[in-house]
Amino acid sequence: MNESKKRMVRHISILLIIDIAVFLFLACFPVFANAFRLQIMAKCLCYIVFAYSLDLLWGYVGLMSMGHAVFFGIGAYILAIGYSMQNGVPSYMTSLGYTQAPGIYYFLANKPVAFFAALLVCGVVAGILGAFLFSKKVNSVFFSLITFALARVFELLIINQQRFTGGANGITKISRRLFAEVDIPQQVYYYILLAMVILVYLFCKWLTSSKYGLILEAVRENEDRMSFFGYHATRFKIVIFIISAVLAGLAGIMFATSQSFIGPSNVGIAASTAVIVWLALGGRGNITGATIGTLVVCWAESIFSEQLTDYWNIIYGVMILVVVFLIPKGIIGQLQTAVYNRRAERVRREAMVENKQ
Amino acid sequence: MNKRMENNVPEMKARKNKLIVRGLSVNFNGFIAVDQVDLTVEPGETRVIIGPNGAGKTTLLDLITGKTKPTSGTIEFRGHQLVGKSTSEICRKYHVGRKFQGPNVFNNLTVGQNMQLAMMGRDSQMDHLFRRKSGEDMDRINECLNKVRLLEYKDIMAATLSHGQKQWLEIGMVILQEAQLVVLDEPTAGMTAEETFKTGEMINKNLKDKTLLVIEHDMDFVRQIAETVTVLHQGKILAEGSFEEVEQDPRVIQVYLKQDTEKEE
Repeated sequence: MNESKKRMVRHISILLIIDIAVFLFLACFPVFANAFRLQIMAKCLCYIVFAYSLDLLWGYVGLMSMGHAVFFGIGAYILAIGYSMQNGVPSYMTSLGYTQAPGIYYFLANKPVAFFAALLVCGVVAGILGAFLFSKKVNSVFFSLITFALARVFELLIINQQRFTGGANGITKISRRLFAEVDIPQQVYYYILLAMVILVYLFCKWLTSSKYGLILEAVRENEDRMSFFGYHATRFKIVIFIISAVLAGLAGIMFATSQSFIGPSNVGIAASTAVIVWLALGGRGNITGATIGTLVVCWAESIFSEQLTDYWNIIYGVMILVVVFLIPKGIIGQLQTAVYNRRAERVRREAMVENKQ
Repeated sequence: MNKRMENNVPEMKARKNKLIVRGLSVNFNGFIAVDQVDLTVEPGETRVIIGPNGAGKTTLLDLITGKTKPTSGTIEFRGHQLVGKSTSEICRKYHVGRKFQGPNVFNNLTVGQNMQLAMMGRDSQMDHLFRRKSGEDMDRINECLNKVRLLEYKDIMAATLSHGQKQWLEIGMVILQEAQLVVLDEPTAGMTAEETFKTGEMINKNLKDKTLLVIEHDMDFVRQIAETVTVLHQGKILAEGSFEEVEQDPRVIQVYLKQDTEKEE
């Protein structure tokens, strides 16, 4: 028994070692990177939180949201509108010639209000949507399709309502301030983002290693069986959808402030499918895979599109095919399976010996 | 036979863990799967339901566990009406546990995790979030796994177990669930004779103090565990009594046991 406990520890610690190594690397990154690379890495940090948020939903509960960028967008846009308020009117509205902003925008002029309103709205939207979808027993395929449609609708809404959202040009020059009165230097802001990533990481680890996390996985495995043990699977799905949406909104906030920009291309179908690819490559249902997948794809994208601009999309397509056919569980998922198989083989051998005796 | 014996007894005030089913019917768009079934299972009794395929056995269990809503009739357990309650509420408040026909477990979770899920189903969401797994929980899981002969497989995914082992895992989960009414749907399906016998021992040892309702086809197994047997045929109760009584009943032999022997020949 002790023996197997030791093995369990070793099994967990492989992922933990990878996580610590990655975070150490991210902490040291500003030392040897120039401002341009640092900016890309700052974007990656935001995307990592975004990937964590979908991993909770897709990896653990098995609900593949194909419109998760909607929540990323809601968070980013509410914050961006609030931060670009100048004399009661967002700056992009002024440049379009409007002098009156909708009344509700005035509340957002206060920075902390904008920050928390962004998170709150994400949670409320997810709560209403989740309560509606999950209590009607919409299965996971239709959940994907509905969220997919939602992403398209949201993208079109942003583009068409130029007056309120900045339209196709998006919102630019969002100050890198958070709650401060002056702009935070790029390097310092990088560490603020990293701290947020680590906090979200710790939260996800805490949640998924609790009994709650186990129940989430059980919902993924066999939802119909849950109620015969007394669980209300629907409630768990709604709660995790809300948590996931709030984290996606936080990622959007981080993105808008660090990149000083948010536009329709960051909140629509393209962004929603990108995060699915990161998770598919890195592996789902183990947090670590989300970190690895995001870093690999984002850096591959920025390096290849610099060097081989014309070929990037082809490389991207080939990469997705390789993942689907060769490592369907993702890099970390495959690693976990290999470790597990060795352990299972050993247990089976031991059980056989015991039965013979 | 003493088929409607219970009807003579006045409807007593509900005794603890007594299951009383009265006039239960369900109609699936004109097909009457369960027809006016009356059934009384005493506290601690082991009742086996037999009957040919399509007799409505599994539907009866679906009705008791709340998976299907009856067209008419009542189901009372521990003095509470179960009709109209949701499946999770029936499990949570009235302590009804079920094992499904054909193993129905969480395949990509380990055997230990499966057991843990069965154990904490009635806890609150706050407990799930903030209470960690205690050493006591671990001991209970290990003890129960030992009972169903799966202790060595604790860290293995349920998917890699054999068919019979999955059945045992599900029996273990029902034991750990601490339900007062335990409903088992074909616990020995797909097992060898030896495994079937071990399953019978397992049930006799660990579930005898519960009110038990079991569906089974294997006659040796029925003889091993049953205290009373109910025969269902075309949604109706055909006979009820001890195994020996039912075995001798000419109507039962005609619709069920004979069919069985024909098949074997």
